[in-house]
Amino acid sequence: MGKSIRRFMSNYAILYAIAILCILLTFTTDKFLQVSNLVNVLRQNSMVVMLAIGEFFVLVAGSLDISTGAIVALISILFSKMMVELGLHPVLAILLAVVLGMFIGLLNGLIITRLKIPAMIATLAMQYVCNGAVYLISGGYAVSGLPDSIAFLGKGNVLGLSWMPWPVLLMLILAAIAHLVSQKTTFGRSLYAIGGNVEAAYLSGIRDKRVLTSAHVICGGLAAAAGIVLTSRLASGQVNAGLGWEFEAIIGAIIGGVSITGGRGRVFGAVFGTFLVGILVNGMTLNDIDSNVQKIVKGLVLIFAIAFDIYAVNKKNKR
Amino acid sequence: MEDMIIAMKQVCKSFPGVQALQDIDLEIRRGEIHGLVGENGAGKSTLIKILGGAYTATSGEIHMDGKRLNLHAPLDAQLAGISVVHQELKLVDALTVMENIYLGRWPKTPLHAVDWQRMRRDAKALIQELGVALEPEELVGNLTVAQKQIVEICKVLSTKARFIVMDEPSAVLTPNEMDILYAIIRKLKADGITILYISHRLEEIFALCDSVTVLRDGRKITTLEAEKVSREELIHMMVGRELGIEYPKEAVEPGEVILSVNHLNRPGVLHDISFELHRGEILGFAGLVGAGRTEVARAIMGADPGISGELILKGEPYRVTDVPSAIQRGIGLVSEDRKKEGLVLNLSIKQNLSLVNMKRVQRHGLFSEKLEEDLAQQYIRDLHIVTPSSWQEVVYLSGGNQQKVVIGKWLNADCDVLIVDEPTRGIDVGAKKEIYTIMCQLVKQGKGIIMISSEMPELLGMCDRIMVMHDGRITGNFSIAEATQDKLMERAIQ
Repeated sequence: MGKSIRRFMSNYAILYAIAILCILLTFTTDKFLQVSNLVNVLRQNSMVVMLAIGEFFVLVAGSLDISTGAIVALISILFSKMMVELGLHPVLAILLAVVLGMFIGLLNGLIITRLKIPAMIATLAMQYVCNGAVYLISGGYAVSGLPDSIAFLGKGNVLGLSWMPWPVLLMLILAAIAHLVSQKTTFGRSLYAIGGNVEAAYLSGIRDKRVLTSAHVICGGLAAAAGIVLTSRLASGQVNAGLGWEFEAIIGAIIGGVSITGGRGRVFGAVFGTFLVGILVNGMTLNDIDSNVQKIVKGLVLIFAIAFDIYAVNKKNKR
Repeated sequence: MEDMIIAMKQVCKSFPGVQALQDIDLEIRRGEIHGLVGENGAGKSTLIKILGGAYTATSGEIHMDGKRLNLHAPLDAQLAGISVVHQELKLVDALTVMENIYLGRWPKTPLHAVDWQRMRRDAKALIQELGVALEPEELVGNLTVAQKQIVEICKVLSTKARFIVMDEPSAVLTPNEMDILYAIIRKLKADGITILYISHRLEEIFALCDSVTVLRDGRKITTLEAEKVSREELIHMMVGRELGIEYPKEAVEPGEVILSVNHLNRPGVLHDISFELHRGEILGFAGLVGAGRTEVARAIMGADPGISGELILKGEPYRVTDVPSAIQRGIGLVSEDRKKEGLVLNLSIKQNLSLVNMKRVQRHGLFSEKLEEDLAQQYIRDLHIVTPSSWQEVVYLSGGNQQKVVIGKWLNADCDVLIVDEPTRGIDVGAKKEIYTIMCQLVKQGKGIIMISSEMPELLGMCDRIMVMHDGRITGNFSIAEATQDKLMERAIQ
């Protein structure tokens, strides 16, 4: 009984942290608890959460992707150009953009598994490649004149309900699918197995390279989804879209209990972890804390979260 | 009374659940080369580690030059003048020969910079003393294994060691290189250094040693003058371990050939391995650690690249490409290192149990909680896995229970051919017996089992036939009626 309570506590620790943070912010600023602010926090962060779900897949498998922010920018430019300059139908453009994102993820996965380059370096390089491509294609200018028909994806509310923005619903649907895939399918179980012990997983018949590559494909696809929603919201393709988001997504996932060493974590942990970071940023902004100070805080939070994660893993392995 | 440099008195070492050494009385004469022989697991490594200060004896005394030593750390041994040359060399490839010799003890100039000149001079003198050709400024990474060993010996000599323990120094050397090693060892002896020489190759013991001590089951059997004992007598003293278990072996009529392995080769590792496995048969693989038995298992599983030869499973030839396809064909491997290769430690018992055959607990491609739980409960019951629940992470289980999870995993895969590599290593007697019983049930169902083990009594108690390997080759093939520990050991050490 005591054990199951402890399990419950540790599984939901992230929710308590969010609750405590919210109570704290309620006392320090009266703007925080306003419905408009809360809905705004949800809407703003739902795109980063999509990245965090992608990071969940690669982190659990023992990998990492730091190119996701750059993929968001590249997709933002390409998605806009497809509609504005090539005149593609929005639905077709969305499909193509997602495929493109998945393709970049595929490249990441192949570079990591076939060329055996560490994920950190491989995706750092991919970040540069995407960044260069963004400026090459756009010439450094934003792409405007997007069709009105896609605006709802970023700005609209479901059934006109002000508390349910479309990006939030999309994010929830993606999170639910990701949860199902990770907990209920052979692929999902294989992710945990290769992240936990790749040698044992391979000797149990799991094609580890294929699984890891697929995780990166999903991560790229989710980055593209975030890029599409952001572009719709801004009604333009922006060269600095998603700048630094990979960082917030990774912190969010790790704070939410996804292990940097692989094999542990849950989709909802990554989702709530990212919201925790989002609320923290929102709270700091409402309290007029300088944005550079915010950056420092975020960096420190990441170090703290990883240190805690590694401490917990080591403690477990010592037994 | 003779002049003894080392005297161990009533030395015991126990680990939780294991008595590794018991009442060892060992005396080593000053200036002799003393051989130490014994099977895998006889206690040689533990004894070396105690002499080198890596382990502390549970009880007993060690005397050197008549004075009692307190060895609590490798440094204590080094200061006393004892050094160990380990089988796996501990050198830094990226540094030069002389930097390695004086690693951690580099000579300093008065300004606390490294005194390169002195280091070069001292290293050169040491190397010349041994009468070998070696450049002090050569990178260790460019050296052959034999040359590295010489660097290791120089390192030991530079600490002014008077007693040197050599742990199977010849295991990785070619015959030519061995001659050089012999010459060095004899030179050391001439200089008055005492050597404890551990080897599996008895001809080396006879060629080099003055006296030889036999260990078995953590006890000293005897110490003899090397010239007064024959090879056969020595082998007979080494074997004869007892486990004190009754084996639940039942006679099963062997059926058709299920797996035949023809001319398996892997350059430098496996040479012309051929054998057949029948349904209902347990085929044993005996041999020393490093003889290539695990490599045969991995070759059949497709776990290593660069293998040539023919494999025929259930009458159908198959190409070894990768592990997943070998598993699909019905081959399973309970590997020797359960933590590294057998289990995903942070997954639960039930998740590990279903790992090789996930489809079996899924409905419409999705895991069914009920099916997976039922499966887990069935194996927890059948294999007597001791655990509070099926979602317990396997990292928290004891060794025996972990091993049962690995076996359960492969039972669930329902393989036709199961290879078990050291299936009872490091687990208690009760769990061992349960694992033997499971193996018997499997062969009764018409499966074939390949059993690799370093414990000969276990092979003799469980197998129908036993192959012996040495140096990547099959050197013996015995029916259970003809096999004895002496014969197996004879072939294993060649």
